[in-house]
Amino acid sequence: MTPILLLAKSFLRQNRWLLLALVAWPFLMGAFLFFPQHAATREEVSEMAQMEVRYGVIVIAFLASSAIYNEKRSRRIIGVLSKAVSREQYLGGLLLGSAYFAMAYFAAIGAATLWLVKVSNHTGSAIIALFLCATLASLWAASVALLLSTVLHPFLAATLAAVLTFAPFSLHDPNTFVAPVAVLLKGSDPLASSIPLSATTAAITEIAVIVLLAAQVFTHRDVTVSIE
Amino acid sequence: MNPVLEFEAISKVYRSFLRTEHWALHDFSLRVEPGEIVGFLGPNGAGKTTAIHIALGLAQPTSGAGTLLGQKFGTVSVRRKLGFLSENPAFYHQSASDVLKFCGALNAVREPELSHRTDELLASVGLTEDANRNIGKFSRGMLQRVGIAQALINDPDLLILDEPTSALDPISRLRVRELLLQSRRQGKSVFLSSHQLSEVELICDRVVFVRRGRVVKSGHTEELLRDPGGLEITAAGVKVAPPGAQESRVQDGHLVFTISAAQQRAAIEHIWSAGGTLISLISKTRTMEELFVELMTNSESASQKLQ
Repeated sequence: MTPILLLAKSFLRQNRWLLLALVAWPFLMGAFLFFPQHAATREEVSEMAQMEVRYGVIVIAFLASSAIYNEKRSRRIIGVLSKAVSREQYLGGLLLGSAYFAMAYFAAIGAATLWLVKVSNHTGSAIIALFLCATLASLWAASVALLLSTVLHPFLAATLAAVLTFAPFSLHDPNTFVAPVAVLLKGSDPLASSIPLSATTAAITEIAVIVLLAAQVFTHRDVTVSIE
Repeated sequence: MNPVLEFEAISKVYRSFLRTEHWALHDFSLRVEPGEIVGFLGPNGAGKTTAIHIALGLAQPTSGAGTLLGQKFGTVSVRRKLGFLSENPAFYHQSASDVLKFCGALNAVREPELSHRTDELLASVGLTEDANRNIGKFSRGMLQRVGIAQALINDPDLLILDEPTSALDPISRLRVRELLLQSRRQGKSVFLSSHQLSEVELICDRVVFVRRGRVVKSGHTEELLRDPGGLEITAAGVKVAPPGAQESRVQDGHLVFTISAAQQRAAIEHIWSAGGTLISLISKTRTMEELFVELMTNSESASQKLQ
């Protein structure tokens, strides 16, 4: 477990400035909504939260897809994988780092939302549901992006992951197992949503399967392809 | 005794997008025995780094197999007993002390041993005063020293070093040489890829020359450096060199000449029968650089003839 935690911490440290900017973003948006009118409407806050969650899912997919590529380019991957670290642990570290990133960002969205709307029991539980669903959705997108980035250029991998994540949103009634992210995030009002249990279970199972598959593919890939 | 590192007929082919092939290693075999320092020499593009990466499980061989510390290449747990320094090492930007602790923790070194070894190794590479500075501000030589220290953090049984002294000043080079010799005294093995031929000559027990992915020569350093050209004899009281002698000259009143090993007995008898005295008999040696150039030039012309 130690290598996974250490690699996740390093991933977070590598992306700390982006994370700081993203954490500040919901508050800046909130200030923009709040100050001119002195009170944002519930619909406005709901729309803002929904937009920021989807934006966050895409950013995290892009981060995850470029992680292996960046580590290869910087040659740091050689230093890490020449230690007693398996490819599964390496991918696990990147995914846990993405999870830390997602939790920090979605917690900031939750805090900004609480700041903008009056706190009530109902809002509190809805925000917790929003936080959990968004984190799971971003991890699903990140794991798909990681899998694809083991064989594709990171930009292609991230684009494809974003398409796989968001294309099912256009479906009227997306299948929970085929498109758990769409089910997790599709609620028209994120401030009134609850946690869809079947989609949550499907997402967690699929993340585990996708990461194991990514590890299998990654194990058979050379991490250094340049010829002396 | 089992080898600590063994390549058995390993080939590695890189295929480009257009399916053109580049053979980085071709039927490559090599053994490193416990307790020896082996130099791994060859020109750029010879396949040295590829061989090392295959041993570490970073790249897959196209064919062949091998073992690292008794386990097949790619076994994760065995790397806990391995120290590795890559060419141009790169680390996460944090303090030198944290880099060593990070690398040690990845190899399952736990506190308080981790802190103790970190301090000890930073001192041995002369970085105690810079232990808490971010390595982002370090020079290439300092980074190289951090790299050497991190390779030793887990007290490895086998050290694989790719150009460990390339960016070092003479004093740091001396320190690293002492660290490697100390490792050998402790019974550890070192596999050293380097272009610093004088360094290799000084510390390696055995040397392997590789070119275009094939081993072209290997052997004990002393034997390889012995000049097949023969022996240099210095004699007093003799005016004429024996038949077959070469480079005959008079130096400080003594006759100095070179003969082949086969003619050694006849030459000594010639000196004694002429009433002379044998002053010295030295086996002629060449430098590692001379041997390297000779081997690489010969194999170059051999491969040109084949083509």
